[in-house]
Amino acid sequence: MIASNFAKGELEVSIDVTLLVETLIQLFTVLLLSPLFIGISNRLKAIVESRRGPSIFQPYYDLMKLFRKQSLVSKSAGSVFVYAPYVAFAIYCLISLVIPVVLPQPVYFTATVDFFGGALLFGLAGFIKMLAAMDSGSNFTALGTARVASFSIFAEGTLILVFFAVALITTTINPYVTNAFLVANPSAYLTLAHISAAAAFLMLFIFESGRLPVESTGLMELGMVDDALSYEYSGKLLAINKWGSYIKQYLLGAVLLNVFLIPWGLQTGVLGALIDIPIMFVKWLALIVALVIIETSFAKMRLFKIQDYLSIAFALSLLFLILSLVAT
Amino acid sequence: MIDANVLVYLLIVLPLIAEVAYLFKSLPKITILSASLVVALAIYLHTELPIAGTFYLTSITWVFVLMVSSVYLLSSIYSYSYFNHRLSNKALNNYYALVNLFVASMLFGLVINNYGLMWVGIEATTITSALLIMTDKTPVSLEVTWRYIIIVSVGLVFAFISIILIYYHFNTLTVSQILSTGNRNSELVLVAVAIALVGIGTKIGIFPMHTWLPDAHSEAPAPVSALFSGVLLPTALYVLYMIYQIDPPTTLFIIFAIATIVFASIFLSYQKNYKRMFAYSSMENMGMALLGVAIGGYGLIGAIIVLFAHSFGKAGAFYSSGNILHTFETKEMSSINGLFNNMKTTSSALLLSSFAVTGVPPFGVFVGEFLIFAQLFAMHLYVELGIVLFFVMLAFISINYNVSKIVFGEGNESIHEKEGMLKIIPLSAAIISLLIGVVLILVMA
Amino acid sequence: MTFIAEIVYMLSAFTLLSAFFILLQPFIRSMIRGIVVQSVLIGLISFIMAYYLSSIDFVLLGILVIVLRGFLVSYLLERQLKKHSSLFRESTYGIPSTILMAIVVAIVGSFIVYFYVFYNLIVTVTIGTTSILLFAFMMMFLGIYIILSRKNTMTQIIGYVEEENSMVLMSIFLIPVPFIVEVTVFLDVITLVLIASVVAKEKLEHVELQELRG
Repeated sequence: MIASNFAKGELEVSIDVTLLVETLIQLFTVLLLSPLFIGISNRLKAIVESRRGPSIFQPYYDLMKLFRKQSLVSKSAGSVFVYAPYVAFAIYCLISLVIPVVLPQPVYFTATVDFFGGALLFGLAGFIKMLAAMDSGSNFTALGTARVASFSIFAEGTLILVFFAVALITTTINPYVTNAFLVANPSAYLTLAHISAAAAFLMLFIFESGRLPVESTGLMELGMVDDALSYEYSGKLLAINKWGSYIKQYLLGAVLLNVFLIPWGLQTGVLGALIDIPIMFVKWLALIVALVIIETSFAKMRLFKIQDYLSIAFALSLLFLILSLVAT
Repeated sequence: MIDANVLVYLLIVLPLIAEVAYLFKSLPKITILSASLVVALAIYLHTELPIAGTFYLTSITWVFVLMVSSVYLLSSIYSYSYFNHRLSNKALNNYYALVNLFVASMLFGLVINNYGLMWVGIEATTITSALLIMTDKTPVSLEVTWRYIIIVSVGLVFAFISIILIYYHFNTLTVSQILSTGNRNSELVLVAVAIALVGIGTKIGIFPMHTWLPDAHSEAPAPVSALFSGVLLPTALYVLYMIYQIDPPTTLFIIFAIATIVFASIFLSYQKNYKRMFAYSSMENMGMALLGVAIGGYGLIGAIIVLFAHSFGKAGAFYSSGNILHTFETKEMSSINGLFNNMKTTSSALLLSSFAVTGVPPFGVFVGEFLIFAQLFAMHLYVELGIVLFFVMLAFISINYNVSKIVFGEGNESIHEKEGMLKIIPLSAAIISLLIGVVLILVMA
Repeated sequence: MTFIAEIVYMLSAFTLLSAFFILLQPFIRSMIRGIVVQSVLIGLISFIMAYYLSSIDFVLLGILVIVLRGFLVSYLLERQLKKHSSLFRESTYGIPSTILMAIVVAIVGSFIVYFYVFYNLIVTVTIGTTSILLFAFMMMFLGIYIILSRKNTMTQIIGYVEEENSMVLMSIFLIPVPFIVEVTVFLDVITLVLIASVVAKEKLEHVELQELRG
C-alpha cells in the first residue's frame, strides 16, 4: 500500500489505524509480558523444588532497580560496548513484529524479512552482543564469547535449518502463512518432518533459554555462557541487555508455540489482538509447566557436553529437512 | 554319456569332497590328487561346451576354469614343500582345507548361471581366503587380513546394489536368460553396470579401490599370493565381464582401466619390496585385461590371453619369490643380489616369469597385449593407446631392471638352491606361460 | 500418502535414527543393541510390506532379517565381547565432529548418488515415492562412515552389518531378490562376521603400518 502510494508520486503516507493499533499491541505485549513469563517460570521451579522462590514480578523489580542505577563503563571498553545493547534490543523489537508471536496476521514491518530473515536477525543480535562483549576488554567476557561462539555454530545452524524444514512443509517462508497453513491442515502438523523439527527446536529453545540440562544462566564461572556476555555491564545498559534477553526468550518460545507445538487458537483483528494476549498467556503457562518438568527431571550437563547436545539438535534438524523432502 | 551339468557339479564338489581327508590328517596329498582330477575334468569339459542350465559355461568361462584349476594344482604341490617343516601338521591341514574351500568358491562363482549367486561366490572367496593371508600370524599379516576383509566386503556390498537393479529390470538373475534378451539398453542397467565396476572393481584392484591389493599380496604366503594374483582377480574380472556384457558403458570402463594401468605402473616403479612390486604388476595386468574387456573384439581375446598367460607367469613369480624369501628372509630388493650364482633354477624361474608378466615378445602376455593394442588402434583410440604403451613400457623397465639386479651381480656364497618341487614348480609355471605364447604365435602365424 | 506408507516412512526414519545412534555410541555393547533394534525395525517394515502387497517373500525376508541379522549376528558379536573387557568402549572423536563429518559424508554422498543418478531413472518403488530409497542410501553411507572413522575391529564389523542392512532395506523398497540368493547372502554375512571375529580375537585396533605404505 505504502509502496503503491510512492509509485503514484504521493508523498503523503496513509496510515492504517487498525494495523497501527495491532502493531502496537503486538510490540507492547512482547515488551511488557516477556519478563513476566521468566518470573512465573522461576517461581514455579522454586515451588517444585520446595522453596518459596521470588515473586513472579521479580524480573520487573530487577529491571526497575537497574534502570535507576548508574552505568559504569571500564576504560578499556570501546564505543561498541556502549551502544550494542540498544542495537540488540532494537533488533529483538523488530523480530517481534516479523514473526507471529501474538497476532496471527501481518502487521507493520512484517514484510521486512521472512522467516529465514528472522532467523538471521537472531544471529545478528547474537553477533552484536558477542562483539560488544569482546569490546569490553575483560577476560571473563572473552571466555564467555568463546563459549557462545563455539555453541552458536550448531545453535544458529539448527535455527535456520528448522525454519527451512518448516518452509518446505508449508512451501512458504512467510511465518504467518505457515501458521495459517498449520491451523488449516492438521495432517501437516502430524508429519514426521514437523514433529522432528519441533523436537529440534525444543532442544534449541532449552539451550537458548538457559534451562537444565544445559543450564547456561547464572554467574558461576565454570558454567556461565550467556551471562558471561553481560558480565561487564551495569546499570541501565545491563537493564537493556537483560530485557533484550527476556524478549529473545519470549520470541523463541512464541515461535515454538505458534508454529510448532500449538498453532491453533489465535484470533485476528484489533479485538482479536487483545484476546490473543490471554491466549498466549495460557499457552505460555502450558509451556512453562512442561519446561519445569523437563528441568527438574534432568541433571546438569558438563559444559563440554553442551556441544554434543546442540550437535544432536543440529543433526535432527538436518535429518528432518531431508525427511520433509523425502516424504513429499 | 554323463550329463554335462553333473560334470560341472563334480568340478565344484571335488575340492569339497577332498575335505573329508581333513579327518584323517592327510589333506595335503588328497588335495593334490583332487586338484589333478579337477584339472583333468576342466580339460574334458571343453568337449561339452557350451553349457547353459544350472551352470553357464562358454569357451571364455572354460579358459577361466582351466586357469583356476591349474593354478590350484600348482599351488597345492608347491605349498606342500613350501610349508613343510614350517607349519605343524594340524596347521597344514587347516591351510589345505581353506585352500580347497577357496578354490571351490571361485569355481562356483565362475560357472553358476545366476548373477546373485555369482556375487555370493565372490563374497565367499573373501571369506575363505581371508584366513589364508594370516597363515603366518604376524602382526602385519593380521592387519592386512583385516584390511582385505573390510575393504573388499564394503565394495561387494556396494556391488549388491547392481544385482538388485539387474533383478529389478529383468525380473530374473539367470545369466543366460538375461544375455539372450534382445533389448538390454536402459539407463538403469547402465547404472547397475557402473556400480558393479566400483563394487567388484574393489576385488579386482581397479585404481581407486585397489588399496588392499598390494598389502594382501605382499603379506600372504607365496602359494596364496599366486592364487590371489593368478586366479582370484581374474575370477572377479570374469563376473564383472558378465555384468558388463548386459549393457556396456565402454568409455567409463576404458577410463578406469587406463587409470589402473597408469597408477599401477607409477606405484611399482618405486617399490622396494619385490612381492609388493609383483602385486602392483598384477594390478597393471588387470587394468590391461579390463581395457581389453571394455573395448571388445580382438581386445576381448587379448584380455583372456593376458589373464591366462599372466596367471601362470605371476604364479611362477610368486613361487620363486617365496623361495627367495625362504632363503634371504627379507622382502627388501636392495639386500638381495647375485642370485644366479647359487640358485640357478629359482633365479631363471624368476627372470622368466618377470618376462612373462611384463609381456616380453614370445610370452603369452605379449600376444594378448598386442591384440589389445591392435584393437585400440582399429578403434582410433590413439591417445589411449599412447598412454597405455608408455606406462606398460614404464612397468616393463622397472620390473625387469629390479629383477635383473636381484638375479645378476656378485653372489653370496652361503646360500643354496632349493630342492625338489620348490625349484621345479616355479620354473614350470614360467615355462607354461612361455609355451602359451609360443603356441598362440604359431597358431596365428 | 496412504496410512501404510506413513507407517513405513516412520519406521524407515527410525531405522535411520538407529544408524545415527550406532554412529554416536562409544560403547560397543550399545552399538550391538542398536544393530538389533535396526534389524527388528527392518523386519517390521518387511512384515508391513508383506501385508500391503500380500506377498510371502516379504514375510520370509522379515523373519530372516530379525533372526539372522538381528539376533544371530549380535549374539556372535556379544560372545566376542565377553572375552575382551578392553572392547567395551572405544575412544571416539566426540559427538560434534562425528556428526559434522557424518553429515558431510553420508548425507551429501547419498544426495549426490540419489539426485544425480536415481532421480533421472524411472524407478517405481514398492511403496511411497522413489525418494524413499534415500533412507537406504543414507544408511549405507553411514555404515561406510563408521568403518572409515573407527579403528576398532568390532566397530568396523558393526559398520559392515549396518551396510548390509541398508541393502536389505533397499531390496525391500525396490524388489525383493530371489529367496535362494537372499538366504545365501545372509549366510555369507554371518560367516564373514565369524571370520572377522576370528581376526578380532587376534587384533583389536587398526593403525597405520610402515610396511604397508605406498
